[in-house]
Amino acid sequence: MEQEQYKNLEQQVTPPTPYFMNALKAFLVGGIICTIGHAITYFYIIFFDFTEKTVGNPTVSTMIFLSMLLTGFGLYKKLGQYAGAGSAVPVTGFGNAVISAAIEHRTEGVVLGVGGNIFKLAGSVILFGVASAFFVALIKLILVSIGVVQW
Amino acid sequence: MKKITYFFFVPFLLAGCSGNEKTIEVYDAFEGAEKRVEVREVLDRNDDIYSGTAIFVDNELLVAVQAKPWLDYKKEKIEKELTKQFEEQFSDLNVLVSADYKLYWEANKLKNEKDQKRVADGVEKLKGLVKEET
Amino acid sequence: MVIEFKSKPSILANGAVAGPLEKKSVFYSYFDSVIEDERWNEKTNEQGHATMILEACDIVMKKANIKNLDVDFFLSGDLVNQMTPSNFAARELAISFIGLFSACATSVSSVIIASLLTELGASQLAIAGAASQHNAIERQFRYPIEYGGKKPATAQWTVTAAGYALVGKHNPEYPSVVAATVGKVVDVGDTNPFHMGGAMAPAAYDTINAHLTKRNQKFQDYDLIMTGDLGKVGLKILKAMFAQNGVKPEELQLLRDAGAEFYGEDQAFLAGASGAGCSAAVYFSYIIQQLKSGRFKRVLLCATGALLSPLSFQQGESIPCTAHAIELTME
Repeated sequence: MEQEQYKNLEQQVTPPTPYFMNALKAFLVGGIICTIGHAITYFYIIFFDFTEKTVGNPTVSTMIFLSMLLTGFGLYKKLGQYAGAGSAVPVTGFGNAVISAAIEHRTEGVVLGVGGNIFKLAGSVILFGVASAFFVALIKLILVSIGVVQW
Repeated sequence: MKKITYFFFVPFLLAGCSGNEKTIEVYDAFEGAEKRVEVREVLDRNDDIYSGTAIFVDNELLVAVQAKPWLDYKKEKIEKELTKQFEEQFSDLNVLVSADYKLYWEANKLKNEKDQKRVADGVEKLKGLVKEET
Repeated sequence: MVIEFKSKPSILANGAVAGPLEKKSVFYSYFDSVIEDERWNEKTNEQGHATMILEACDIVMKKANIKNLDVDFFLSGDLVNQMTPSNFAARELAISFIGLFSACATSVSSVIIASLLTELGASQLAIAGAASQHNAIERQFRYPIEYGGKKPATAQWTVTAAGYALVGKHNPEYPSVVAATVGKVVDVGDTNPFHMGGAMAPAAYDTINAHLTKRNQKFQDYDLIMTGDLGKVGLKILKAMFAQNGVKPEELQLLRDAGAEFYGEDQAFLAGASGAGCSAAVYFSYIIQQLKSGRFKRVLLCATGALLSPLSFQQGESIPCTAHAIELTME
């Protein structure tokens, strides 16, 4: 059978990806995760001495802690299968990527196993995050020097 | 299943668009009743906030406001604008205007406080918090 | 390449072992042993994988009432890097060992080699088969087990199972290997590792066609043609390919897939089961039992394999696939 003929056949038989439902599920779950994050933010603002400017740190720490619990108990992957990007994009998803890699590579020891592989999935996020922050800051520096924007 | 999801989805979208929020002006002062009227007027005039609380203590003025929904991006501008207005009016006081929720929450707690010393301490602590970076 | 075995080597014993999740399998009752801990109480998944292979081979030898010393050859393969679980099991078994890699088609390719050795007279008794362990292979080929990535509906679940057969001289009381086809590598340019069924179906088509043509047979000459792990979608594609070639629907009924049926209708396993242990466990338990009981007289077992590596995928290569087939009869 010709390759193109086969590709057509394959496409006909393969069930189509339900993009709209996937997007909807991701939207709802992502939104719920962020709402929980906001509830935690308000908790820290009301019961502790954090302002909106400084509350980011404890909120993220708490979210990552929750993500660690869910990942460790095998629940985050079930959420991920349902929500897709909705659970992968928020910081809890980043936590899950790092924590799951750490759990996986325990068998090779702490230094080479866990240490060497913990950022297997999240490495790109960190690398490109830092790199793009650098370039954005550089652009802003140039614009400020010209006088177009202020700090 | 799909139809039910649609049905609940629409109210979600509309939830952010509730207009008709009444401007609740609550404020308290420890001295000078005339000051009350001026501050209330200034806050009333500003269309970007839906609530504000002002506290006068010693020679400090703390104004905590809350920006209307969807106008959070203007928070700094609102703070700067109001600070300018208040500094004109009350040039003898240290003015701090903040749109931060923490300040608003604490200010609302302080306004019912009877002990002036506690209020003064509270205001000082809040002013210190605003300076924190992390 | 079709081989016809004049001496018709027989499958004198079989053993299939599976992990805890495989209790949900429709073939559960045919397995010899299902264990509670997917690591077989070992420290690592890979060690558990090796112990699982040992257990399956022990069952085979016990059923045939023989010991390690009686076996001439051990042929095995799995999906882990350098096939270390098979290697470590071979170390314990202390039988002359040939390791082979045909991905998920190893269950059949190992029996083909064992049959050739038997036909040649070089082997009196040989143990052949394959195995897979879900955790070890997910880690190898995809993401850490606990990672919350979303798998599409065409993805398949790698089983934790092992299936081994004892191949020996012809014995009319047992199912015999009368012919085999060693598949070519077929690549249609598919690059999606979450849609293996689509990549492997052309290889299965190629091998089955070659076998039927050379043997001058049709679908109706068989009671069953069972592919290894095309999964629900891959099986549909294969049937469509045959239908386009003029095979009638009632003939297509004879075409089944071990992976598509493995977990029944459970949606959690998406398009079905896969892994070297999938075809091995089903062939060397259910199929052999059906042949022995007389329900099937002639079957064609066509195991399919995707010959990619995580590196080749990352480098943008497509997925080359193969399929190996053996024809078993029962007198």
